[in-house]
Amino acid sequence: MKPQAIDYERWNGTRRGVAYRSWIITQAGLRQLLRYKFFRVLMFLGWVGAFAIAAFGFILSQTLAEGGLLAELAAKGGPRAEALMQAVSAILLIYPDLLITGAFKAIFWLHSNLGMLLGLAAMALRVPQLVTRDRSSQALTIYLSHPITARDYLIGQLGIIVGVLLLLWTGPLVGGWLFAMALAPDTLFITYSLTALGVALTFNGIALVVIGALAFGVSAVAKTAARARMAWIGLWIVMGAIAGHGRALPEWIRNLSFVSDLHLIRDEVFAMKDTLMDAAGVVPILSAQLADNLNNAADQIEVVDMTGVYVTLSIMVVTALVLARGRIKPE
Amino acid sequence: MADPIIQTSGLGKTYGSMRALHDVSVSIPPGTVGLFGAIGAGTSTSLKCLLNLEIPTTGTAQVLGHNIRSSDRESRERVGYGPEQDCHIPGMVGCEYVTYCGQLSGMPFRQARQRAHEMLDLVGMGQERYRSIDTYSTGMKQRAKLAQALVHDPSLLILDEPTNGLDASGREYILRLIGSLWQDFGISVIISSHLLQDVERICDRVLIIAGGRVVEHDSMANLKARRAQVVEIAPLAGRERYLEVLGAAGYQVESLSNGRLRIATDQASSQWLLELMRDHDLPPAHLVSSPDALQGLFLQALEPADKGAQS
Repeated sequence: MKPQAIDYERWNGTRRGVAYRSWIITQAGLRQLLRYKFFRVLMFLGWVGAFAIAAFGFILSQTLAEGGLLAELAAKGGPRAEALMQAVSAILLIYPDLLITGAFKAIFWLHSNLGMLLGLAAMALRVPQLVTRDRSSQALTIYLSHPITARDYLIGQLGIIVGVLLLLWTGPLVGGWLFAMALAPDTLFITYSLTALGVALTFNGIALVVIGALAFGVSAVAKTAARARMAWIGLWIVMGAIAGHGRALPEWIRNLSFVSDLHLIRDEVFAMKDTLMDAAGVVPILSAQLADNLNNAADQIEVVDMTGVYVTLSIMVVTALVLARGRIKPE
Repeated sequence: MADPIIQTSGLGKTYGSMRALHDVSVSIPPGTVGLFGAIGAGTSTSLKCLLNLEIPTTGTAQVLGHNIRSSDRESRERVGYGPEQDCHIPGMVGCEYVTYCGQLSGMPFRQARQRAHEMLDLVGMGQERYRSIDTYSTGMKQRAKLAQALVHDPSLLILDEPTNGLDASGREYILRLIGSLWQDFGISVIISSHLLQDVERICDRVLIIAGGRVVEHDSMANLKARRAQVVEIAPLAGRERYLEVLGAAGYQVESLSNGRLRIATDQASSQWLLELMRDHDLPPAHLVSSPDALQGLFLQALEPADKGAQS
């Protein structure tokens, strides 16, 4: 009796390349993640953020543009309303960078809070499933006995982190902006909001590298899923709380919180202090009170020496990647 | 002569001060090769080195003509591996897991999925393939491991203890399957097992490792020929007459507790015994030529290593 031999057939198809194999790891990881209700809730919240950006952009463009909905309504509201709208439109023409770029920077800055929070929460779910789970279940033996190297595996797993942040942060950011621009009555909004989008994406990229590397490091070092999750939450929440409330602590200790570091980098990348001060210089035409408020807000933004932040964060990222690379081998 | 599937030169592996593999230089031709050694002898380490799961400390190795260090990926392109321990990707169902392994070897999804089902049929797995692999019994995990090792149609299959945890019928089924891979499809198999009768049954070549060194490497036929012949007789009746006739003919007969008679001889075939039975009109008996031959060879091969360890 040889039933097996009868059914076996040779396969002579074409094998796909290395990039495909790494992509398969990414795809499988994301598919597993999408099975979690918690992750789907995070995704929903992320896309609520996209809707908020789109709504903000729509309202802004309809308020400021000459041919916008608000201008049409103002025309029906009498000469006083019409004059006010014309003044606003005139300011837009004179200071488009301030009004459009500044406003979009502000909304993207706010959105980065949501995006980062969702990304960090999703990582708390995913970190134990990166290297930790594959090491403890011996799945690494299966991966590495196939024609993929530890580097291909690492790229595939990094792809999962990129995918998570794309779904929760970058995707909603770009999606919301695109939707807002599709409804804008003037191309001026596209031109001047692109700068803000570029700034937001730059910070997004920096956060992606930092969060990705640290998630990997934690996942590689932890022996069990529970420890990996605890370590991630410790790094994120506990260290964040220490940095946030321990003003008396030495700066280097506060710099050990990557979340605090990312917040400082964000303030620098968005240059919100300069934006607020520029706006305060122009706004008196409309309201002196508003100018004072903008000046006060600018004063509250802390100015710190960023060298320590960049050095600490770089050391943390490199250490995490070296640790992760060293642990990608079968137990 | 066909190109060797494995060729190693001075392959060694040390863990700290412990030497797991020492100067292994072999050239293994295609076929079904049995690899065995005592626990901790270095069999699993040698397999892992060949797959680059462990980085050799010294020496070089080629698998299917590819250097394992300089052509890391290519050396595993046409190799299937079924590890000894439970290795699976948690959270996946059986057919998803085998499909995934096919894709990791570069197969497009549709073809990987189709072939995954074919391989799961082949290893005798039914509707269990739609269950999470985390819930599988040891036997089912063994079948899933074999399916994932075969899904991308390898030219060389490396199996570490493939029959562990299988029941008698499952073991029989899997051994038949492994045995037919080389005979019918030209897929070479290296099987590491502590079950010598499994190796003896399906392998045409044997490699014995002791103390991290290869102490024996030859074809099964040559190894058996080198070993003193032993015949066991299980007479259906007239046991006493057998003892009498064999003793009179000058043979040393050992009476075993299971009723069998064990005779050591220097003759290669059992023809002399059949002639003796005919001449003395002895009742029929069940003859077993060279029982436990591999066991004997194994113990014989281990002797120098044991002596070396003691000295």
